[in-house]
Amino acid sequence: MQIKLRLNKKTKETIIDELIEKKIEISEEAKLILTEEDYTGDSLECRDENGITFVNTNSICYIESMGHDVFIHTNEKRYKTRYRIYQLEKILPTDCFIRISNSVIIQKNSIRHIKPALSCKFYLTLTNGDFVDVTRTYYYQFKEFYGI
Amino acid sequence: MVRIVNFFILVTALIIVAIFVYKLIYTYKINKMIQAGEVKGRKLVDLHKMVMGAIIVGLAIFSVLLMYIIHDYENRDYSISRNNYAVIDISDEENYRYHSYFGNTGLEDASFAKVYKKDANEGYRKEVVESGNYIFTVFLRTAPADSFHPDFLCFVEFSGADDAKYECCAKAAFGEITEETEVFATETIGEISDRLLYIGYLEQGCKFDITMSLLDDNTKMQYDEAMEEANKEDKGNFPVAEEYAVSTGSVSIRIDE
Repeated sequence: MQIKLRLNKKTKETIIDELIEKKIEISEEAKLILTEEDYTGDSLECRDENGITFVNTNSICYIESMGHDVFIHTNEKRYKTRYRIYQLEKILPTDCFIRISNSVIIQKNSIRHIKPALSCKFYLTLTNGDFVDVTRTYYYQFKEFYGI
Repeated sequence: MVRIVNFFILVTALIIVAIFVYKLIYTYKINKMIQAGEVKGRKLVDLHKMVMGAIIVGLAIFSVLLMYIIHDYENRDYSISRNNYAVIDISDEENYRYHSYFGNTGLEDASFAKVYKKDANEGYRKEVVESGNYIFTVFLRTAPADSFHPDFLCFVEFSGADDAKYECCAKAAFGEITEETEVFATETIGEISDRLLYIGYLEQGCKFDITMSLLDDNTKMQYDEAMEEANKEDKGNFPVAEEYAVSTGSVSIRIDE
């Protein structure tokens, strides 16, 4: 029996050992896929007009929560995801993504320009041309993250 | 006042310019850091902290300036009070009253002058000058200056006879000791008062001159004609009463600090 794994790094080794013990072969060619609930890997499951698709985390510009919906913005397109913003904050690698307000997470390299405000805030222009704010709550975390 | 307002505006403008310049530098630096992806050197001070600092510095400057203004105002107020005098008629010993004055007397009655005596006054040095038909008894302050005690007192008494025959031109003038020019002068002509008391304040380096000129009918007429002529000419060349007077008595009062 062959199986394809979609597991997070933390649990991957343990599960692989267990599967090998049970003589289950792990293969990328397998039709059967075992996926961990909060697995993201290098891509996030999203939805666009064509249905379900996987977006590579490297191509994400920022993630925005609007009402009950969470949108993933790349430089070219916007996708909708089922994840909540707090879940994404945990799932995404913390060295590449940072939360800058209650509703926005940005990718580290997605900032084109920063404009500081007098009121303990930053206004960011992102690589896709969108504007987002770093709010007071996340101001010092943001400074610490970028070392500015 | 305009100078102070200008200074306030200047300080405010400098603070705004400093904040603006710092904002430009800060924006440039943080953008450079983020584009380079590495942090070099010291972290910059947060913009809002810089603004707070600038406001505190500005307020400190304003406070110092305000203290200077208050200090200056207090001194100015004091110096104003030192540039005035009052002439009190003390012929009637029961009811002292103002004969004339320059400055802010404030009080309606001049009875406060009763505390000063012609014989001696504590904190004052006495000098008696006899000049013309007048005796000037001058008291000069020896105690430290304050707003409640005058710098000088001068009792002026007519010592001549037959005072009904004359009219008196009383002139009082402030001036600088080093110059002949009169800074401020007044002249009053009228019947001779037996006893007058001059009370006043003097700036350091200034003098106060009292001149009492007696005019009889003839000289009074000549003086009046000259005055009328001067008024017609309207060039400000007014006659000097001393030149027409039959007798002139004067004293010059100065404070030695």
